[in-house]
Amino acid sequence: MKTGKSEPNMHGLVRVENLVKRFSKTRLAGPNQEVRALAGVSFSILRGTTLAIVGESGCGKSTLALCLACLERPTSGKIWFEEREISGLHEKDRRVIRRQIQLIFQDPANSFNPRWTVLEILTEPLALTGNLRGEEMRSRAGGLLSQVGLSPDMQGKLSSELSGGQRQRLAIARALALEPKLLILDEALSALDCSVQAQIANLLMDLQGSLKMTYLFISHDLAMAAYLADEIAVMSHGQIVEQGAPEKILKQPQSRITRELLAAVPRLDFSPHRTAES
Amino acid sequence: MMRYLLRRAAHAFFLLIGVSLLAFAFTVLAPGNYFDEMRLNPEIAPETIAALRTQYELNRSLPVRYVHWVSSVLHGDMGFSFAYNTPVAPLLLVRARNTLLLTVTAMLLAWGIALPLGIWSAEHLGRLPDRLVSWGTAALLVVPDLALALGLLVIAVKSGWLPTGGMVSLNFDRLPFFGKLRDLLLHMALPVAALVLSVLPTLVRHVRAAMAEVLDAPFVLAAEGHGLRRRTLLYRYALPAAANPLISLFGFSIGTLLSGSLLIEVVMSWPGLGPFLLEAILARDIYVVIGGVLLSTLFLVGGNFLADLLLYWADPRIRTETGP
Amino acid sequence: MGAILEVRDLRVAYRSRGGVIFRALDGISFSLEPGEVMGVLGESGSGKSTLATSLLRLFHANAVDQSGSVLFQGQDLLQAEADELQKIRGKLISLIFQEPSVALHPTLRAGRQVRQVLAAHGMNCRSALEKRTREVLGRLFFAEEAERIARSYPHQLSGGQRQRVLIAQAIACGPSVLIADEPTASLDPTTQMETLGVFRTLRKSMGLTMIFITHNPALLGDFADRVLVLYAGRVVELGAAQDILVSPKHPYTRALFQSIAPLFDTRRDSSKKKLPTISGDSLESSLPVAGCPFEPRCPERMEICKSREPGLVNVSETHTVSCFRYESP
Repeated sequence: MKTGKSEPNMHGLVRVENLVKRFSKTRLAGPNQEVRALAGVSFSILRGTTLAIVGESGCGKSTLALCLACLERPTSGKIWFEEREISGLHEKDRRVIRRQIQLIFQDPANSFNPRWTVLEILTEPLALTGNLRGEEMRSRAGGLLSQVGLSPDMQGKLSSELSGGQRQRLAIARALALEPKLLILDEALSALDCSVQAQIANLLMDLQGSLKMTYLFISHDLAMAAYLADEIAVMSHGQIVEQGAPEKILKQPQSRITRELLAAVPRLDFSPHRTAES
Repeated sequence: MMRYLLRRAAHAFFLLIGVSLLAFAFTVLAPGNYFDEMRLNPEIAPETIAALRTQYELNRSLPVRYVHWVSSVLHGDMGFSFAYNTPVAPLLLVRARNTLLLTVTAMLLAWGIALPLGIWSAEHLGRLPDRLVSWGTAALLVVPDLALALGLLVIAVKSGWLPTGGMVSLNFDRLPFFGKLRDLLLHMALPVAALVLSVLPTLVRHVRAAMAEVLDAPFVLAAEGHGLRRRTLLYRYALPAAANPLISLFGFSIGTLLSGSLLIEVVMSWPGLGPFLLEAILARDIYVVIGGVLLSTLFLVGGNFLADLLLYWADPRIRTETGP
Repeated sequence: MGAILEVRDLRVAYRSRGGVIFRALDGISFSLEPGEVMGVLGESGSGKSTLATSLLRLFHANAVDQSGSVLFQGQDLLQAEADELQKIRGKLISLIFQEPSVALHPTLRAGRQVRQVLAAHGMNCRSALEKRTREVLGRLFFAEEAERIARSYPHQLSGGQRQRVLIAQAIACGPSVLIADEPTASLDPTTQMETLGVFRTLRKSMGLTMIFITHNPALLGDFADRVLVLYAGRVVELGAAQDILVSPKHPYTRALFQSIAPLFDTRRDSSKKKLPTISGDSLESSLPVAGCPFEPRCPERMEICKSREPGLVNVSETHTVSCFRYESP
């Protein structure tokens, strides 16, 4: 087991240095196409805080999420998790790390096995840790449900019988089952209705307070990101173009990309919009 | 595109070689050979048998015989039939033609009925037409092919309309052209009917399932919202989207063109490939057996290859997706 | 000038898998003036998609009950003959489905899908079809792009491009009414803005009357003339966009607006305050109730709300609400 010690970071849970990820798309005819999803990304996340990554589709934020969750290997660069360099680990060790970093996806409808009940969905990760059995496992599942604001008598329902907001709560409960240190939310609120987004956002904030969770919040919704985050990083074409506290990013955007993103946020007022005509 | 085709062709080729090798090996290694029967006959001298065996290379080793056989096949010579005392190839090809006459007709009929029936059934999913079709296909599935064939024969015998066996009547050669055609069709009627009835239920169910899934899809409702008519919607919009599993099934159908009709041919005395091969296996007429297996495999592999090609042509997602 | 589309007491019910009757639309009435943009605000479970499809009588197989009328140019679409309806759909009234990734046929090229709409309404000359398709696509894409888009398959296009192909299909035959169901839901903000811009341009150049369905009220500002707020299959508020967006009256509308994260009001400024939310879940409100459907979640509920359904009350000449709080005693 390698431990890479560079600069000891006392509070940083996660640290990423010069992350590069290249995909090679094989084609049936002609040369293979190189896609550079990440072109040298560096940042760190302090324990108990939220870092938001905002950007347009295709800027690389989902690839970043996958690399951090150890579901993809970066082409080059380093990732430290709890002061341990994880980008070069063997599969065996990566599996252990993966439990500590959980991922919540955008689409609540497709995140679960459609044939499983809520109880089965929750007990699957619990069974993986191997410590609990039977009754204990069920009561822990019930506890997780309450923690995310779902009623324990939903255990017998299928995921298709839940609303979008309820499913995302279930996804969060499932993620919490493994007691992770880092939660990566990849557009987790984007598919929800506005009022439901607010509910889940509040839940996330509560959980951060009570469990000292660290979040990586990936979104194209600048308003929600600014509301939830302690720090925002704006991404474009695989690179971070601007990074800082939400107030600074919103009120004094330095990069053109940030300004474009700001202009694109729909406002609930009648200020004349800059219309982008095709 | 070429890489895909070449890859599939290479698969097909290696499959053929593998199958031919196995068929050859198993047949040759199976106990007994054609000349064992002869040995029991006291009138034939042992030297004659030994000479025959040497002539047919029965005492050479397996790999040698295989190589010789492969090189002959590549020259169009599929070996020699001991029982019929003639080259294998013409024998097999005639019989294969007879079988194909039945199976191709049956396949066209079966698909021709299954498509509209399955689509109609899917369109009225859960309602009376669909239920009737479901019961009908279930009933057909439950009845064994043998019972179907025999049942049809009984009907033929009782009614006297249709001939009860064989491919042509005894006076075939003396009939005028249309007379010949009519005679052939009359003889084909029962076996084709039996074949169609035996494959129809599976086809209908697959078509129904594929269509039902597509008819539920948003893009069909969206098209209806654009004012597309029901007919256009079903046949030119929904069916192409449902085609993928059906194309694979079609490829499989082609694959079984030579092998699927064995039972029917035997029961109805149709001079096809099936009964011929059966006879050859029992008589240890090895080159006929291997030739037959090779031909069947050719169809199977060819059918799958054709399905791959069709799938490639029909579904642009396969075409433009980056290949493995 | 009379209303171009008039909906009267539209009710649609579905039978769910468990056999439960679910009332998707429970008495919707409104009228649409020619050339106006009506924004329909509704979240999941409000019946908005059912509204979109019902206007053209596109019911799902498990719809059990439809009543009411949808009057278009004097004709009731819910009672019309099938071939009359076919002539209207896509030609006089067009529907843009939500989720462009599934609303397009997966194995047909984009250009062909536009041509099919044209062909369904009588155009059969090959060259005329191609010309018109090019014209339509040219309105939505840059000239160099349009050719390539026409030859592409849906899975080769981005979300925004697919959305535009859907729009192309809808406007190909020059309809007078366009119904757009969540046209920007799956797009990122910049593409969202561009798509809205496309709608604005089209509205002006084609004189379209539009029904724009969304769950995000912020999209309606500066675009909609009137807004209809849908909750549990009922109209809870209807009025001029300025009235509703600036001073919403119904408790649901107010709570909805408040729950949207304000852009310049970061958490730190408001000392880690939580977002105001509407308690409870919208799904529960789809069960048949005696009184106001919003009552279980309403922060301003009264005794009467549980037992009786509120009627529509005129708050002003252009603004109606369905809430007991505004009923004069």
